[in-house]
Amino acid sequence: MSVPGAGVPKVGSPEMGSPELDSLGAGIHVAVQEAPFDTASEIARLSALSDRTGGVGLFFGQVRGGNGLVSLTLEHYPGMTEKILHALAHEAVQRFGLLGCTLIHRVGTLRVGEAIVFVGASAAHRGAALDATAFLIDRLKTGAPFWKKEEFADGHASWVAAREEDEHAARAWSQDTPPPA
Amino acid sequence: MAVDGTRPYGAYPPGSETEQVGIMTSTVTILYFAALREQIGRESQVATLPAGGMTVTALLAQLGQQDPRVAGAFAAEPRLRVAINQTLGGLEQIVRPGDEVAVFPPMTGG
Repeated sequence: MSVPGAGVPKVGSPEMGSPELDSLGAGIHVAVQEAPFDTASEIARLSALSDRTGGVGLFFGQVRGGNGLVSLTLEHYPGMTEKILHALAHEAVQRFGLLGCTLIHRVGTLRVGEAIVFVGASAAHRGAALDATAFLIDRLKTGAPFWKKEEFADGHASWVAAREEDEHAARAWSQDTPPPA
Repeated sequence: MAVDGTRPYGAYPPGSETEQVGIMTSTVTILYFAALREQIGRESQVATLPAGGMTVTALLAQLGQQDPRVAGAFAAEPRLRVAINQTLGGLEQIVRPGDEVAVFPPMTGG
């Protein structure tokens, strides 16, 4: 169902544009997939990117239970999703001076407790790593074409409504300076 | 207006159907996602455009006039989002023949 990387310029390819972007793209990893991911190996990749890496910021999102929720089904827009995630990753690398970052987002049906998203940012210092991680997850939630549907034990299902606070968090990063922590 | 209900969920390789449609120079492919896709009852359709194209607003009005389910789904979502050729766009943007236009509710990833 997912088409990771299809239709998206490969990092480091001539389509990607300037040599500067190519060098920045070297530390970027983006994937949209049904399969689970291995958090330890993703952290290891970010940790090993450079001798200058001083830390890795991390957000790991999973299906939250409650009110009889059994599972979430994540739908996305193949092609556009990968484009948006690559653009977001490049923006984070440039804005926070990252050594690299990783965005992995799962799609399909995921049960309570299963992993949904991995956001990791590798930087020389913790400030950039943590700020970039918050930037990436805040912008991903409302700016990448994913939609969640909730399925409950009693059989009913409903699409998750966008939350105003999520839109606000994403907008706060559009200013030149990051919002106060 | 032809209707394409054959695409399996999520299996929309970028460029493939778009390129085929692009050969028919007076048409535009419309994709629906999430709640809109369910309410309308299909994932995509092909619409005919005037040679010079039309605004997103005019295109959405035309689609609604042709199908009450489309009109109902659009009316039920006050915050419709539109992407043209996989880039988020505004309602006054011009849609041209061969474009891929996606219509969907606000995104809820993460």
